[in-house]
Amino acid sequence: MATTVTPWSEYEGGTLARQQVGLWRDGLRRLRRNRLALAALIYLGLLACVCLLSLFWTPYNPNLIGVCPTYALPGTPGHPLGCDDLGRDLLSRLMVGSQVSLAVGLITAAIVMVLGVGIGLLIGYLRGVADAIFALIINVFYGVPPLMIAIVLYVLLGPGVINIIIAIAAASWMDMARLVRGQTLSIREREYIEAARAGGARTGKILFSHIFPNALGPIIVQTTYVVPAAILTSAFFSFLGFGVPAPQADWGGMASEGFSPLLAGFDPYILLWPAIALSVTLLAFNFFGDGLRDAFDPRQRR
Amino acid sequence: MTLGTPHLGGARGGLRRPSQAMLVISLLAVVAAACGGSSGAASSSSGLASSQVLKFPAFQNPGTWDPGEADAEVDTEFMQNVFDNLWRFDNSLNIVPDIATAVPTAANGGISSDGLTYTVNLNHNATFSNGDKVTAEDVLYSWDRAVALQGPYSSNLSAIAGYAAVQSAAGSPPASTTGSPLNFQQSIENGLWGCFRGKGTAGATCDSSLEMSGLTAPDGLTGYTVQITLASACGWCLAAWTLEGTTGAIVDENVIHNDPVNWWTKPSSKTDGMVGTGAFYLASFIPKQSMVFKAVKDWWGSPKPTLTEVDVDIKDPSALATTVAAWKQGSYGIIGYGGDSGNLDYPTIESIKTSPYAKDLLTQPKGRTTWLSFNIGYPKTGGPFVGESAAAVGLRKAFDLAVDKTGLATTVCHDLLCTAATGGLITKGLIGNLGDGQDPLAAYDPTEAKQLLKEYDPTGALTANLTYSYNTGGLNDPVAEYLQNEWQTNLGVHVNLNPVGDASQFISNRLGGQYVMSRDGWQFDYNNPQDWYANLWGTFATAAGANTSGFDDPTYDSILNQADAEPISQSLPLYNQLATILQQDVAYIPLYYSVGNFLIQPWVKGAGSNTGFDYYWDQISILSH
Amino acid sequence: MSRASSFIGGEAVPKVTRGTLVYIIQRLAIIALTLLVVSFVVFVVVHALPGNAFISQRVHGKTLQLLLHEYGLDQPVLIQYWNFLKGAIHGNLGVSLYIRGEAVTPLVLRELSVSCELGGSALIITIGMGMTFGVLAAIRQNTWVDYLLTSIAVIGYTVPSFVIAGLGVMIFANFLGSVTGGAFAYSPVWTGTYGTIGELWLPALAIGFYTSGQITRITRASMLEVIQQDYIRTARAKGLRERVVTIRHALRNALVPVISILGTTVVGILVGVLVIENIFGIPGLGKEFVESILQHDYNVTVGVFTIFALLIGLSNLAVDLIYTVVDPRIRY
Repeated sequence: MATTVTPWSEYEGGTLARQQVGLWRDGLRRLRRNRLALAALIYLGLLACVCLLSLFWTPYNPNLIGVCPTYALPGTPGHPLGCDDLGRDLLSRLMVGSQVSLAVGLITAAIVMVLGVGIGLLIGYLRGVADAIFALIINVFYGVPPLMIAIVLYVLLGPGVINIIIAIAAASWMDMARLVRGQTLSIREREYIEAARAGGARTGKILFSHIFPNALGPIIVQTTYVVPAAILTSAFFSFLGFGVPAPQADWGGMASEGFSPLLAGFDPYILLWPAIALSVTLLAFNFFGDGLRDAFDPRQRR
Repeated sequence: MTLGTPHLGGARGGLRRPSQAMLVISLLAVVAAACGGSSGAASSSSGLASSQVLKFPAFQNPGTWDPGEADAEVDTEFMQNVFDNLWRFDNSLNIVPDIATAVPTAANGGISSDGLTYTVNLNHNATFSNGDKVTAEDVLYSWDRAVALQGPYSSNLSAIAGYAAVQSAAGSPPASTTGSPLNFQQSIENGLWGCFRGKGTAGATCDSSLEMSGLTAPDGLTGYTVQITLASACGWCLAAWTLEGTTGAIVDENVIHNDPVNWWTKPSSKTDGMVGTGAFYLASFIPKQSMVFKAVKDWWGSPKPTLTEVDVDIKDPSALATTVAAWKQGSYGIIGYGGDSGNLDYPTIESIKTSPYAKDLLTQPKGRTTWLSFNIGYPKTGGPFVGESAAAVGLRKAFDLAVDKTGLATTVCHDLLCTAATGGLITKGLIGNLGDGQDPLAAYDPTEAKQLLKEYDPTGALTANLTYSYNTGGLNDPVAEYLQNEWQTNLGVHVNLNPVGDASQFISNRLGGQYVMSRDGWQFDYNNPQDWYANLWGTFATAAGANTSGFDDPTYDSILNQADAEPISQSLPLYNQLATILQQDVAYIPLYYSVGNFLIQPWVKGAGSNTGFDYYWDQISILSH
Repeated sequence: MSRASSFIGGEAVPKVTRGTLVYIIQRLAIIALTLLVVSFVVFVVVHALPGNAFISQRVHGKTLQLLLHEYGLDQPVLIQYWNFLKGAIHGNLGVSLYIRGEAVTPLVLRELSVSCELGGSALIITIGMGMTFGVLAAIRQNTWVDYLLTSIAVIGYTVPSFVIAGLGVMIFANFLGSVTGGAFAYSPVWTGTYGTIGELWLPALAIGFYTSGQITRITRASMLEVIQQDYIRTARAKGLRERVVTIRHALRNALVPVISILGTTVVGILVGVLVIENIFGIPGLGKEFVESILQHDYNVTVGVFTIFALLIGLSNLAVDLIYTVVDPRIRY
């Protein structure tokens, strides 16, 4: 397929706006052609619809015990996905479970982006003492997996979806900050930044009108990867027993409950449905992220 | 190899044929005799297997095996085979002699006429597993130590004269800097050493303030008589002193003196380790992994153990399915021993019942009741149930009658893991249970419930925003949802659920009276109603900081005092009066009695369980299989 | 981007030129600092949690106060930490509150060995499987082999490890069991401390699958890069067999990026160990970690956390040092 010509030739000492438009237009075109990413986007759209729907209606009350015989297999009339160990409808619980996963994923990503970008920009631009402190913090916590940091924080804060979000976000912002810092370090050396500084622009303006838009590509791509990472971490949380308190349904918790009937050999479905839901959702976010990254990476040529 | 001529005779002559046939026949006979014996391990004529090793899984770790500190059934189930008390409970929960030669009664003179003095004779043969002989000083030492340690069951000995003095003399230690209670326990050991086994040894001094004045040895410390003098008459004391694995157990001062804190973690030896007078001793203990107990050679007691060894694997509860699979293959003899009778879950039991293993499933009611407590006595916590006004009692009754208890047992427990508590709060099978259906609070009457609600809360303002609190796990979650559903359906009242993830925090809050409605329960300690009525309601409970509902009533307290002093034959009607008081006051909503489930291989003979504990290991034998 | 820059300080500070030894000492100092910070934070956090290891229906009020006092748990947290630290420096991590009086250090060390067995097996599987798939996918680029292996890799690093474990049990335990009548089925019973190979492979695979995905991708990408380079063509022109060319030249260079993510891989394996041990009931540090938090067994939690941090720190250091061997351009 023919490569499109980027309007680099139009850059002559600072027409940033036009360069941006060119990059975006080019990227979106490439994204549209990436069928895998499109399929992922469609799936995510459907998931969002199901999630919104589940706020108002599900086939059965997801928390009501005894609506069907315990361990009912899929295909039982009225319960296409079967029922769990307490006789709760699995389809309804699956739908409601998407709320927690999407909420945790998206909100955590948003927090991480804001925090990471803010701190990364500042540190990358100001350098000096702030940078040294930041480096120390990163190096110290490099030695601890984010999951464990998140568990300790969550245990301290207590149960609840909001606390899960806080805990995961607190464990994840460092990677984003490091990325943005790196980007800032390299961008700040470019000529147009020096020109702007010489022209008397304030730090804030420089950061947000000049540096930030140039780093935006990688930031967005990284944020898209934070979503599945957060969903994965929260699934691990629920799986280990630190998740949302009962009876709220969520995929990780459902998977955790599904393990004993699986190991006992008589009902794999309680684990199977949330496992599939989690896997496909994570794949979708990853494919979409890959698509974005490929679309915006100027070095990639199809 | 050729088949040879069609007939054996011929040129060789007829003589060969019979002897060859005889040879074949006798060969066949020998082979038949050898193969015809029982399969598997060679057997003696009684059918016992040659390997008398019992293996079973435990689903949690021991917390402590020190009788002065233990309080969990999962610990005492092991300790009861290693330690003995002066008496023990037999399989039917009757008190029978153990280290003592007889159960003291007024009739045989063991109990004085005023009920204040008990005289106990010790079995001269009683010996610790390391060979030390048991004499009177061991009883005195064990009980004085238990009181000084002020552990969870030290109150079992509280009726003995001098109890309070010893506890205050033992005091509390300076703060530990090593994170170990060594200082505290070491000072108690040092204080007692010179009074008993260490008497006369170099540098040993006796701190007599640690000796209860009511506990004496009339025939001298190396004699075999012990005299117990009570501060006040006590009808429940014998049962409390018999509670195995706790403060009544007899321990060896020679051993504890060397390592007051960790002695019980080590294999039994002459000077160290988990040493008791029981039929078994600790051979090895690897934390979080396994424990091995071995039978004491030439044990002094009876019945003499047939088992030589008991191997216990510590497994994770999540491994239940694979553990059951291992049991089916014969790797384990029993599942459910060691206090784990509540571990078999519904799907496992269901699948067992429809399999050829159904006959190996033992279902045994266990002495544990679960109920709902209202906040009656803590005005600060609030709620519409506080106090004794007609409205408060009426509302309590409304919420009680709105719950279908038999429905709960069917829906939540499938009638397998629990049964509806219809005979009062004391579990079925224990003294003090009123009999099936005798508890008026176990009734289900949604019509009257709704009427009461309308009468006492016409606007619904009082019962808006109620919360039911419980600790998560096991049956608690489905029970909570069931209750919530019942109140919603039958009363139209929405009750919020407050699941508390941390059990210790939940218990702490609940005992502090912080919940308006909470899940409550009790596992019995010894077979006497005092165990329930003194610990859960009334002044004693309040003083101990354990009165969940805050229910306190002078009539209740005075009847309780009276009953506690009488032997059970006289006190039972009085305890039943207490039950009536609680019922008339609607102090609780009865929910269910626990049921334990065991899987016992057909070749494990003598294993079983009663309401309180698993049958002792010295009754078990392995048949050849 | 050079490996050294993923560890901040590699570019922001002037490169140390006095040699590897100084670098190692620097890193060890940072590790020690990490352990200090981690143990302190965790210690304070777990002590701040409501509830404790002793409360039960029989232990409350006065009895509870006495127990807390005996174990020194009613002192200020800082004093308790100081006492803990004094012991920890000598290797004594204190006593367990759950199994009263049992020493924590031997317990945790034993569980460490179990987790190392599991993690080590997972590491072998991850690198072996990852690189093999990557090499195969690169050699057979754009064929069905490539697509299959790449898809497997994508599934690997996306899907949670407990899903893989569940699938594994479904296929190898339940399905295989019902088809062969139990003869060849995988049995998730962990016997004894260390388990047998027959019990180990599925949990190790479930852990290793996750991280092998990244390795496959990276191996494939870097092999593709190298295969197209000139010196390979030259070597081919010399008449060497293609396979030898591939393995000896391309692989050596592909090793570099793999090693660069080895640090992340080890972290991924540790996280996997945490989850998988809890599923299969394997008596290692991962299971202990969760249990000790729930049981309020403070010293064990702090001990487990600190050991995890130490493992990660040491493995990162080892990876950085291995890097110098593999890529002679890197010097510290």
